[in-house]
Amino acid sequence: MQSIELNVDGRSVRVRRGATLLDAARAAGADVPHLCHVPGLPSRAVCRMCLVEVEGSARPVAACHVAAQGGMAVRTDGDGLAAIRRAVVEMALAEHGGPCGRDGCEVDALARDYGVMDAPWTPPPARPGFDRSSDYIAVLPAPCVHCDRCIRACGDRDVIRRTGWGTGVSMGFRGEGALDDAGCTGCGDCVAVCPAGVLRSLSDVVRDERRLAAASVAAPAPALSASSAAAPPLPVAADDDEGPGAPAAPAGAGDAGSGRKRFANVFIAAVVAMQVLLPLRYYVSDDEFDERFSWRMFSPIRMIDCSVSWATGPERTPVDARDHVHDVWISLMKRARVDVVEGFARFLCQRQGGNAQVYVDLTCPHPDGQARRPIPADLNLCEVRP
Amino acid sequence: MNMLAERWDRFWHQNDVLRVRLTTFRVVFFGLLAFDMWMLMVPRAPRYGVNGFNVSHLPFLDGLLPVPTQALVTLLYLVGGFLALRVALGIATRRSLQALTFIYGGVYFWSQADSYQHHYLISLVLLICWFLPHEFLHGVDEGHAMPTLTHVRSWAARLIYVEISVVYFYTALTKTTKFWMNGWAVDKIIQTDSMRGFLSFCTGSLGLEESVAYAFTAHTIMLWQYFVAFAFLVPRLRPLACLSGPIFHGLVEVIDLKIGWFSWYMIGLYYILLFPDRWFLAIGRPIGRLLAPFARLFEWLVRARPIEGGAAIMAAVAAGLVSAALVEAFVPVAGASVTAGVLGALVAFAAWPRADKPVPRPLLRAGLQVAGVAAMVVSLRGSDALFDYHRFWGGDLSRRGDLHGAVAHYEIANAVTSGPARHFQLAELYEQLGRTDDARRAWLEGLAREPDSERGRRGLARVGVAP
Repeated sequence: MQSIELNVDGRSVRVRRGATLLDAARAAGADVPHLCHVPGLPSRAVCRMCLVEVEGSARPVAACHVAAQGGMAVRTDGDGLAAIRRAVVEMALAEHGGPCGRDGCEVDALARDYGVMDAPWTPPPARPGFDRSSDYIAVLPAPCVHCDRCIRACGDRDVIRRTGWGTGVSMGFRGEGALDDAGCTGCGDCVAVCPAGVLRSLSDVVRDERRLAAASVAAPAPALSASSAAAPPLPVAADDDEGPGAPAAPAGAGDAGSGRKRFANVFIAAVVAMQVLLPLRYYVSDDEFDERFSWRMFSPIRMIDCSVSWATGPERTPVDARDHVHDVWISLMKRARVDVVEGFARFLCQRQGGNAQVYVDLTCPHPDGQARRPIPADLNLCEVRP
Repeated sequence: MNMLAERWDRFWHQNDVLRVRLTTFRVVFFGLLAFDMWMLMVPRAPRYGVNGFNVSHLPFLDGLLPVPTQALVTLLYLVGGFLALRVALGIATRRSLQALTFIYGGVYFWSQADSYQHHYLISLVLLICWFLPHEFLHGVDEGHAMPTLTHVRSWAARLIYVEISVVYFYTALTKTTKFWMNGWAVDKIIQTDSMRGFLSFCTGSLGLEESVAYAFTAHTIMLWQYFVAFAFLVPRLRPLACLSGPIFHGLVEVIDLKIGWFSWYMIGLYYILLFPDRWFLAIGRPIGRLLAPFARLFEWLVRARPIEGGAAIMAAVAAGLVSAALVEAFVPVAGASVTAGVLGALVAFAAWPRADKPVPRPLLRAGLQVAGVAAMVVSLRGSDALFDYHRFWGGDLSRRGDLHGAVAHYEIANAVTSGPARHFQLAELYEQLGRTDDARRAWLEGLAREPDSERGRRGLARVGVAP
């Protein structure tokens, strides 16, 4: 790969051909601040934060955008540049609506670095409120500084766009509607690059709401005011599973609205009640062999095999059940599954037609030594259980 | 009252779960279920509706539903397995899951022909899984949604824990009978000599009666199940449970209770559900490194530019046709053509572009579904599933005197396996039907696979060939 050599702040550095002045500055160990630039995304040079002076150039140039050339002499520092950057940060902070106080806000961080936190700023014009149309991403356009990072991160998906002109410029979405209507797949790339907290994961927003509620803040912080209006703050986080300070989680299915929550509560109650109560059927019914819904895995009753023999007609002609049904049913009869025995009796009765007689000799040993006969042997099942 | 409501709300509605844990649960549980349905449940399909007889689990269903048929149950199991795989991959997740629940639970409640309680448990878990936050998990449809997200909130995940806890509690509670406590039942259920030998060795070394070992084992199992019931609810108890659980369920496999893959489900669930976050991630890290190339490939596929319009329609049609052709060509089961058609339609429909709402990654959806159908074919052909399916069916028909039907199934059973098969049974059926030449060929084929068989030699002599 071809490389070029240039001078940055008096140091000679060598970078690959096609590298930007920002790359060269980094290679020289110079700290050039930047806001709209994100490595890996195409450069737009819209924030003018990374301006540097190039010998022979009448005006400072954007380091993230201008390609380095061999023999260039670049200055990344100086009073003039510092003044320009301070002005850029003040403008960004004004666009941002002043310091938001959110952890990780890059605009706040720059403002702190340049000592402009207390600079006078004018509240930005009113913009659309909190967009929670997406299941993944919450959008609060107000603090947007128009760095275009999100537009570039979205790339070909083309969901996020700029709308309006001049002072009315704002971030918007394809179709001029809500995020969810613009074909957003919720990939989160825009959230990952947004420096100002405009695009945030719903989970982060929920977490902040919970923290606000926990801290009993009467007036919500500016960055969350719209969200707080859109949805009431959630109760304080539980720490039963992961401990306090667990990362935030988005509300899953059933957690969003009160209607869904009511449904969830009914569903939970129904499933738990069924789970707890249905097995009791085994204890209150008189069929000690039917364990289907009792969670009696490997109970003593299942260790025994009853003997089953069938007969039909007044002469009690023996019937081999295996001639009629699959072996699995016979196994169930041997386990004294009474409804299967009755089902097979019905089956034989129907086959015989009118005045049918079907008898079963079902004898079940028991671990206690007392054999049981769940169905009396002299009972014509076609009469009692037609 | 407010305090109770608050505790309820906190317990159910503020349950934050590691996202990768739920994703792993979905992949492992539904992946296992898919192969379970294909490899273990399909062979049981021939037991349904034999001779028009059926008894359902819920009496009112007998009056409402027709008797299930073998072909229909085969179709439902094959399609159900495919839907389970789709859920594991995150393709049309919720709809696939709903259809799977109706199929799995429906077949279970429709007939007692397969009445393991595990099916009941899995039916309930499937129902609860409808309400997991699938849109936040990793999968084909979700893509790489919210890459920085670590936890998701889910009451359904909590309900799965409660569900398992209740089951463990009852299995322990119902063991408080003298026939369990005195070791009688344990003595009966241990099927393997190795385990019996181990217990004899232990008691012999300590100079105790063997019955003491069984009683001790019975008490230990019962107490452990009580403990696990609480461990699923109390996070602090989980480290101990997730160490002892796999040992317990591993021993269940050792004593050979013939409960299919249930022990493996449970061992998997212990890792996925009970391991504390730190352990879970520590164990998962090397696995993640191993799977990294696949993850990168998946990521690349997810980010690939989606196809649209005519190309997408062609891809959907092609995927459907390939899937149907695979089933038709390689899965000789009752109603194979219908199954092929249904699977082909499912594949094509999931990848079909729609005007109202974009289908996420239609090409990836189509490709992975075809791969899923191929996995089904490989699992059926590469295991004894199809062999068992036809030999069970042939055996049942033979017992009930339908010799022609039995021959047809034994012929397919022998064709789909290369190991010792049912050639001798087939030869005897040929003899009974007077097809001596076919019988001779079957005896010879059987002896080629089992050269030492006395039964084969005698049979061959009977049809006039000196062995």
